[in-house]
Parts: sequence; C-alpha cells; structure tokens
Amino acid sequence: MSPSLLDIYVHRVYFFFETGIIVYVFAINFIYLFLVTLGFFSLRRHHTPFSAADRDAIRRSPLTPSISLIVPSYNEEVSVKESVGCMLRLDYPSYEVIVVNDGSKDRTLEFLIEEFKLYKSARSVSGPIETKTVRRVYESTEPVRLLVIDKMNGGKADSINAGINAARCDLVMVVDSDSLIERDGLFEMVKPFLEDPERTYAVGGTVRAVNDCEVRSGMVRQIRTSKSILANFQSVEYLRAFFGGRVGFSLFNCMLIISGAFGLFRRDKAIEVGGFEDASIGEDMELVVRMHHFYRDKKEPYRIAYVASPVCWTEVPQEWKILHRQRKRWQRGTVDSLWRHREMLLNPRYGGVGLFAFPYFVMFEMFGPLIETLGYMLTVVGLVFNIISIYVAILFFTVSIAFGILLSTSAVMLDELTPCRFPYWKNTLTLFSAAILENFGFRQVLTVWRAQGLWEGIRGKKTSWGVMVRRGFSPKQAS
Amino acid sequence: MLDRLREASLVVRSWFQPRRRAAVTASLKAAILIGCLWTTVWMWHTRYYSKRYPEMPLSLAWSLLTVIGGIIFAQAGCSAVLKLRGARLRKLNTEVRTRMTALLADYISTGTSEAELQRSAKASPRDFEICLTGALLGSRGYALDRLRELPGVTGLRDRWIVQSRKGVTLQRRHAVEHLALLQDPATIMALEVALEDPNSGVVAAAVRGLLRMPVYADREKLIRSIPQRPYLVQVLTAGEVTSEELAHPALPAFAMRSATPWELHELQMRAVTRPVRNRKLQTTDADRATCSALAGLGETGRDLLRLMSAVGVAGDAPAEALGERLAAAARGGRP
Repeated sequence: MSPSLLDIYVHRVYFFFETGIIVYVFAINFIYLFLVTLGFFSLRRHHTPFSAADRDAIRRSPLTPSISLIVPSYNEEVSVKESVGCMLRLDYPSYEVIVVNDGSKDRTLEFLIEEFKLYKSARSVSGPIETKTVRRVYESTEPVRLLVIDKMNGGKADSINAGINAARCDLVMVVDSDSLIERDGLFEMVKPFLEDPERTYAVGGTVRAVNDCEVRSGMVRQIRTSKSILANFQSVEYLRAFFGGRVGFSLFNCMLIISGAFGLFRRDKAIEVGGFEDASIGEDMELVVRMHHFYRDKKEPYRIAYVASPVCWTEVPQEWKILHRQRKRWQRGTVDSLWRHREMLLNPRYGGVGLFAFPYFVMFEMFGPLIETLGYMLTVVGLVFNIISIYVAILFFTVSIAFGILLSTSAVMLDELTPCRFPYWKNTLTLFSAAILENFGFRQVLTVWRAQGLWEGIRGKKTSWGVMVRRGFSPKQAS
Repeated sequence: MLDRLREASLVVRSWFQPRRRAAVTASLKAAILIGCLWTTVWMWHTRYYSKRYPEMPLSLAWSLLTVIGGIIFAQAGCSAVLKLRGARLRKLNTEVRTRMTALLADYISTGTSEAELQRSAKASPRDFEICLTGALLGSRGYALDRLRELPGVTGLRDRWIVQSRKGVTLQRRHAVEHLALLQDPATIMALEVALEDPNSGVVAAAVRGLLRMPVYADREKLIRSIPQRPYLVQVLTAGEVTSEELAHPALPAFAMRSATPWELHELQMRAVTRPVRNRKLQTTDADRATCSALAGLGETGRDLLRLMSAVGVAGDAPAEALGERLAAAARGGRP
C-alpha cells in the first residue's frame, strides 16, 4: 500500500469519525434543547401551587398522608444538628423524622443525643427489608417526632432501608443530612399523591445549591449566588438538570432518576420492589429504574413524577477534588443502574422508558462523556496533523460550546418561572455569567471526569459513602 | 379478537388523558419553537453568511452563533427587565397594601374610612382585591358582615362569579376561593356551578364555601357526594366535613370510606379516637383523662393527640395534654 493511499484512508476514516461526532453533539444538544423548551411550557402552564386556603384545609384534614423523613447520615457532625432541626420545624400536619446513623466515626450521634435530648428507646426496628444490625434506637424526651437509629455501617442504601423499616407513615421521604427543605415544601411534594393516589408511586423535587445563601434557624432566608465560581457553575448545572431534563421526562412518565437528596416514595411500593439496593452506587437512580422495570413487568399503571416548586437546598462541593470524586461516583451509579436493568433497553414492553428514556441515558448520559472527550481529542489531533479543516473544527466547537451556553442561560431563565427564583438582578447576572463561563473549561473537565467514572463503572469499582467536606449552614460554622 | 379491540380502544382512550394530552401539546409547542429557531439559522446561512463565507461549516457556525447570541441577549434583557420591574412593583405594592390593610381594619373596628377605602379601591383595584381576600381569610362574624357591606365588594363578588365560570383554571380557582371566603348567600348558585368544574382545586374550594354557608340547604346531599369525588377534593374538604360530622352526629362517617392507600391508617386512627369523637365539642373531664392517657402512650399517643387537635376533636383537651407533656419534658421528665 502506498503512503498516499494510506493517507487518503486515514483522512476518510478521520472525516467519518469527526462528522459522526459532530452529528452526535448536535443530536445531544438538540435533545437537551427540546427538553429545556418542554420545561418552559410545562413550568409555565402547570405551576399552580396550593393556595393559602388549600394549605389550611390540608393542615386540618384527617386524610392528609403522613410522611416519614429518612435522613441517612455518616460523619455529618457539622451539619446534622441544623438540618434535623430544620426538618423538625417543617410546616406539615403529620410527619416524623428518622435519622439513621450509619456507624459514623465522628460525633454525629453524640451531637444528636445532646441537641435533641435523646434517650434509649425500647422500640425495636424490624421490617421486611434486610439491613445491617441496628445497635440502638433513640427517641427524644421532647415532644418532637424524632427517631434516631444507630446501626452498623452498611452504606447509604442500607441506612435508608433501615429507615423504611422503622417508618410508620404512608410516604417515606429520603433527605440528605446536609440538606435543608423549604418550610412548606412538603405540601407541594404530596400534591401528585393527592391528585392521583392510586398510581403515584414516587415524586422528586428540586435540589439547589445553598452555598453562601443566608441561613437562619435552619431556613434559607435570603437566596444568593455563591462567592465561589465552582458553586455557581454547579448551581447552573442543577437548574439545567432539573428544569430541563426532569420536567421533560416527567411529562412522559419516563423519569429515570429522583435525586437521593429529595425524593418521596410510597412506603408500600418501595418495600414491594425490595427497597434501596445495597450493592448499587447510585441507589437513588437504581430504585427508580427498578420501579419502572418492576411495574411495567407487572403491567401495573403507575406514575413517577417531578414537581419543580418544592426545593431542597444542599451544599455543593467547593473543592475540585471533592467534586471530582462526586462526579465519578455519580457516573458509576448511572452505569451500574443502567447495566442492572439492561433488559429494558429498546424493549417495547417497557413503553416510553424502554424506547426513549433508557436509550437516551445509555447514549447520552452513559457514553456521552466518552464520545465528547473523544471528539475534543480527535479535533485537536486532527487540527495539529492537518487532517481536518479548521472550518470543521470551528463548527464542532460552535455546536458544542454555543449550544451549551444557550442551554445554561435558558435554564437560568426558567428559574424566573419558579417561586424560589433569585430576588435581585445582580444574582441573575452572576448566574448568567456562570452559565457562559462554565462552557469554557468547567464542562469539559466534568466530561473527562465522567469518562473516568464510566471506565471505573465498567471495571466495577466498589461502593462507599461519598466524602464531602461540610462547611455547615450558619456563618459561624462556615467561617 | 374482541379482547384485542377492547385493548386497542383502551390504548386510544388513554391518549386522551389530560396528562398525556398536556405532554403532547407541550411537545408540539417545543417542536414548533425549535423549528422556528432552525429556520432562522438556515435563513442566516443561506441569505447572509454563505455569501461572506463560502465554506459551509463556517457559514453554519456563524449563523448558529448569531441566533444563539441573539437569544441569550434577549433572555438576559428580559430577565433584568422583569427583575427590576418586579422589584419596583413590589416596593409600590407593599406601601399601598399596608395602607389599605390599615384602612380595612379601621373600617371594621370603627366604621370610619369608608370613603377613603373606596377611593383607594378605585385607584388600585388589584391591591384592594388582595387586601380584601386577606381580610376575609381572617374574619369571622361581625367583621365578615362589615366587609360584605363594603360597596366595592358587590362589584368584586360579581366579577368573581363571572371568573368562576369563564376564567382559566388558576383564575377560576382564585375566584371560587374568594367567593367561598365571602360566605354570601348570593354566591350559592355560583358555588354550586363550580362543583361541576373539571379542576379538583376549584371543586374543593366550592365545597368548602358551601359547607361554611349556614343557610345552605343541601349540605347533607353535598356531604354524601364527597366520597365519589377525586381524592384531592376529599382531602381538601375533610376538615370541614369532620367538623360537620361532629356537629351532626347523625351523618355517617363517610370521609374515610374512599378506597385510598391511606384508608386503613386513618380508620385505625379514628377507631382509637372514637371514645371522645362522638361527644359534644366542649372539653369534659373524661376527655381530659383520655387525652392524658394517650399522651402517656409515647409517640403513637402524641401522634393521635396531634391529629385530634388538628381536626378539633374533644375541644382543647388534646392540646392541653400535649402541653403538659411538653412542660414535663422541659422539667426533665421522660414522656
């Protein structure tokens, strides 16, 4: 074979790959744009929160479903007191808080005992889901509906399962112990259950970054953007994920993920599918996918919904190292959940989930980072060795970056349609700037990290609690 | 064959469910919007950039950048304008509403400020409506009568009646809620019409409004119809219905009869609270003793007491028992 012929072949193959990647990036952005636009129409039309009179009626109604808030915690001494205190002050007529201490090595349990005057209860916790041994159960001497379960270390999913076993309410809500729920957030969360009690099995709410917001008495008093650019990037990312992706998928009952930081499930249905999977890394996504799998197999009509208005505020990492670990873990979780239920892929038996949501997650969420990383590498190498034209490279970067900016700014704009929007235009301006800047470096770094996560997921790395450096919510703690 | 036909008809019918219809409508709108966007990009490409940049990728990239840049600037501009306008309006409204609320309070308590109130209502009718509904929400008896006598209220009532039939869902719901707060016998017919509304929130507001109306004659029929209504309506009216049931013990305990996932739990709760539930509303010593015993049962008992307190069973006894437990806990005692 003559070198010139080889050269031609290399060029052709390269051109084929490059065009394929451009088409892929174009398709992924087109779908994102479609989801964001769906979010716009859906949020605008369906955002009808309960009125004051309705809330009053719910408070007085003996039919209001009760909620068990399950707070799995592991080494959360910095924020556990405040977040549990916040949960005990929620405005909802019937709920209990169950904190599950998963064998913390720090003073999480001691802090809880001290703060809420806990005593060792004679109550035993046993239920249909198998968990690690429960060492002790604590109840508060104060008339607050708080139960603390101290158990052997078994991971987040195991802790949630112990909480589900102990729960006495009809609905169970899983909340991260570093999160703060809006005081009246539970009203909006139960709304889909009240509208369609027979078929609604799970509901997810919105999670937003609390970094540098003003928090007093466990409540977010003033919504602000963070001083950290990394936190602002993540704020934009969260807005895009929730107001774009989840609203769109929820419309078609195809939502494959409910955030582990803020999800409400019917207890009986969570138990029926076997609770959270201990061996899974992304236990929140895995449970939702399993619910789809199980109930579609059973041909049982069900609904897994998303509501945009109730907000759970959570601390997002402000350090690159922790963010790196978190994103790799999330990607591993996605890979793990999709692999476990691979039978659903393109299977018409699973309806929209099998034919649309699952392939979307496999193509764009699972393999997306790999293909995008490959795209960047191929473009740069092709430019260096003069294999591709500069114009094709420009088109690739335009599609990739300009669309990214459009999606992020649109998500910031969608925030204006929700009640929890930023109050001042300066915040919006900061967020707009972050929405533009995140596309020059940050998104690419995340893509590479996710590709790493994909590789680790394929290799089958073991699960563990995510490590996160907590700053706490109050200014004193933060300083 | 028949089974398949039935299945097919079920599938077709399921497409007309409101939720799916909403999803399809939103998808169509999104597709049209994105189609417009692409048409604009293509027009920039064919009519302008392709002449300046003969290389197609470059021309397409410029067209995309132009359209995306335009959208981003429009978004930023809209957002800033909305924010500034919102802040200005909020500031103005706060002042007007504070003043109007003070005038309303003055009018109810002393009977003065009527003329000034009328002037303010004419100047900013929207603020007047908001302040009035706020006042209606917190008023009972004589204060409510006084508010109903306000000249501007008749006009508002008529508008709410029209809105309760013709507005969009949110408008209808607000209108019916406001009519319900007014407790005016003249609104009975409008509220009865609202009972047939497709939106559960509107129906619930209408039921609450009618049950609060002392002169409403068909209350028993209305109460008996509630278990057949959507669950959301049952939840949103159960508070009123429970009070009704307590006031008229002859009425059947219907509220818990819906086949919902929460039926069993509530029935259990009711079974435990029955000893005090069927007695008269005043607190008796026996109620106090029962509540005190319940408080001693730990968290389960306290849950029951909270429930009883929320639905107004046994007067003040549940709250008193809970309070005693709280005091005991504060003293260091173990519940």
